[in-house]
Amino acid sequence: MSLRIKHIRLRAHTTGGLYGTDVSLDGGLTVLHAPNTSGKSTVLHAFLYALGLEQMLSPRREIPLSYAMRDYVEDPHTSQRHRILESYVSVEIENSSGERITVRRNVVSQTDKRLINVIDGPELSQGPGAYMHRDYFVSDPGAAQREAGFHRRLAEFMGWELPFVKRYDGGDCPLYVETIFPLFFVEQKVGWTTIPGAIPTQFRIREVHRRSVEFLMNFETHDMELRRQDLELRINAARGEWVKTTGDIGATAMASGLRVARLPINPTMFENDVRASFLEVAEGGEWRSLAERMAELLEEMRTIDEQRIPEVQSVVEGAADEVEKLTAEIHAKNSERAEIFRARQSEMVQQASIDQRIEQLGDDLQKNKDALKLRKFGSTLSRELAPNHCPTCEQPIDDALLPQGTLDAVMSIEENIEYIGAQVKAFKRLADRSTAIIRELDLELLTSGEDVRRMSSRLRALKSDLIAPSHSASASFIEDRLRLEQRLNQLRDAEARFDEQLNRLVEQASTWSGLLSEKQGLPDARLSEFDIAKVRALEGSIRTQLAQYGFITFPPRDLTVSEDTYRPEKEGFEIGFELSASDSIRLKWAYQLGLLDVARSRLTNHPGLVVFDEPRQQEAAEMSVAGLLSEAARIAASGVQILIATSEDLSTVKNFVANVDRQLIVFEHRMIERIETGV
Amino acid sequence: MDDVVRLKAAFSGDFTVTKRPEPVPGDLRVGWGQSLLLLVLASSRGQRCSLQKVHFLAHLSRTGPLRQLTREVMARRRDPVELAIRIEPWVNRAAAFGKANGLITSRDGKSLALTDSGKVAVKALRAAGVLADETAFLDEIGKLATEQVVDSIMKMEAF
Repeated sequence: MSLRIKHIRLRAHTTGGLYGTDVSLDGGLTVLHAPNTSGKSTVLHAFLYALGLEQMLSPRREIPLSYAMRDYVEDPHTSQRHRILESYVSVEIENSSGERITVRRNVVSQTDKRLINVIDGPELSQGPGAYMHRDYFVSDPGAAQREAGFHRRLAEFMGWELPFVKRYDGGDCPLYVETIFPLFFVEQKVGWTTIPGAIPTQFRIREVHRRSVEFLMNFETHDMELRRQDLELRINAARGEWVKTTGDIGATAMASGLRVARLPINPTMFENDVRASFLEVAEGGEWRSLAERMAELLEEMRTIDEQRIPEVQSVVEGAADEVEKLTAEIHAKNSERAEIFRARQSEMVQQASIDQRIEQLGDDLQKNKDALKLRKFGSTLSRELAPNHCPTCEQPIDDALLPQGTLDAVMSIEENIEYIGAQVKAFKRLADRSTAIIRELDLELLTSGEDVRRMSSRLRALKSDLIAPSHSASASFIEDRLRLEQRLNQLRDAEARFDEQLNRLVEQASTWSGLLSEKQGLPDARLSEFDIAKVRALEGSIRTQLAQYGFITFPPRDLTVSEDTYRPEKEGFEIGFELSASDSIRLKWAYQLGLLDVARSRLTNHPGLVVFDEPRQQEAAEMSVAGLLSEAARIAASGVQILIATSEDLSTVKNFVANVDRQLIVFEHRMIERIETGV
Repeated sequence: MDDVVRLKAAFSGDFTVTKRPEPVPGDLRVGWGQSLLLLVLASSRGQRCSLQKVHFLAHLSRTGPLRQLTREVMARRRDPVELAIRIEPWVNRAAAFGKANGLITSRDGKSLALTDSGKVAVKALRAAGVLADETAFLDEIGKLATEQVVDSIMKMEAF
């Protein structure tokens, strides 16, 4: 678990010859001193770029190097500009077993910039040798996982076993190295802004700040946390499955003109709750339990079975009356159906117009949001796009492209956005209602259609009785029986299907109960006692350091480190704006060095390396910088590496580090210089 | 007792009624309209176009269905007759604001063009990613819709 920077080399072949710089580090505390805009950050960025970590700086995959590596080099002596023809950066790193590799990546070149050339040996410090070369790729999917991916190689080299973490979209991905480096590599542009670090969020990893600290500190909770997330996802999936199955059950029931009662819409672990649901059937405009209705039908069936089939002459008497009655009934039923159909049509039109309205509102919402963004544009354009006064005559105006004065008062954009949001909500509710109504009407159409069919076939049978010879068997009686039988079969089928689906739901109920008990089984406390000991050690280290740095906002002993977010807190509240700018920088130093400090005595995944680019941000007092350097020297004394790049006054720096064991590298001018001997 | 006093004051004191502010569609906001106008001009050749074309593009790039229809007409999958183009007063108002803001200039009252600061503004708009759908549409259609094509479509002729 370690990473040491041994050497960083930048080279650019220009129209005016070879330019570049070399920084050789001998471990422990290194202070790199060079004046402002001399290329310190370029050298440190070059290290990140060589390791393919540019996404740590910005989600865009651009080369994070200054013009001096991409465009032209200005000779520090002659001030002449030379265009760059080809350039590369190269770093030599060492791991805990003393193995060294040299990593080289091209900046300006004809080759693919996603390629990283790895040389299995200390080529920069000891010169070229017969080492193995191999190309790896970065910035492409798979860089962290595939064998040819450089970040996989880097993690192996550092002895990191990258865990798999959950993404916001539900998938898994490795905890990318880009999300861990900001915890010990503080780069000047974005690095100083946040604690624990400017960790990139574009990988859409859930709670990435916590995950990366947990990994770096090798917390046992890390595994637990992963299990918790996994369980959460499975619970959500089970909930989704449940909704789908209950939806299916409703749909199949409806297809046979039935409906389901007492079906638990939300997942339950009780089988009885699931079994308590039953089917209902419409009978004469009323919904009754299917079981009851089937019992009645069976009874009817039995009575009919017991009777002998009568002859036509014995039934013909009532038949004529019944025909008349049935005809009228069918007629009434049909007009009722036409009514339902019309209602359904108009509801569908309504629904379509609601959908259209929702779409338009969405469009308008987007436009309002754009308008809001545009209003904040004034500062970038030096003139406002949406002023509240006329740009010519300076009179107040309404923010609308309507003739001025047509509206009494124009809603503000924020209010307007809220207003549209409220409308969308209301219309969505209406749309849901429409869907429910249409479903209900469909069901009515289906059951009444069934009724009409039944009555029509009865009518046909009766009519055939009326014209049949008097001794033949009564067709209406037989039809009655057949119809009854058919109806019973149909209902039995529906019931069987329903039971089958219910069994599926019962299975899901048992899965659900398994998930709930698994959730119950997870320990309440997130952190193990070892983890807590590490958090306390971090806290202790931060407090000692803050005292050294002259932290003044509150006494350092009041500071705690949250066991939840791993961020510093005071009296249980996260520390934010109440800190002065220079105190928040001090806290940042202390936190970052604290992580390294803890790693010295405990088993963590910390690579034993900290890089600070220009730590004196916000004009932290000189005395604090002296404190920082002496603390860094104390921590570095135990064999870890700390690199601090600064443009502080040279004599002051020399003064600060006079009594500590360190390496001081001084560049008086620009770091990138003409190189005479072609290396 | 307090309540009684307050009620009394409410009944006997002066009061005024303020009319509730009215919502305005997002595309009728001054900032939005001007931005669309800038993008329209930026999408045309030489960053300038005739008033006719400004109205043409401004109207057609405003809603999703209209944009789709325009794409189809431009691809000659539909007849130009189906495109109903409106000359809308808000475009002229946006142009007036744009001119007062120094973002656009007008030439002889017939055509509009981006000024240098207008070009800067367009760059900023694109970088900020606002009006994303409209920008994408204009990037695609702006170059195809030459003055001649616009003229033909306005006359409902094939082009």
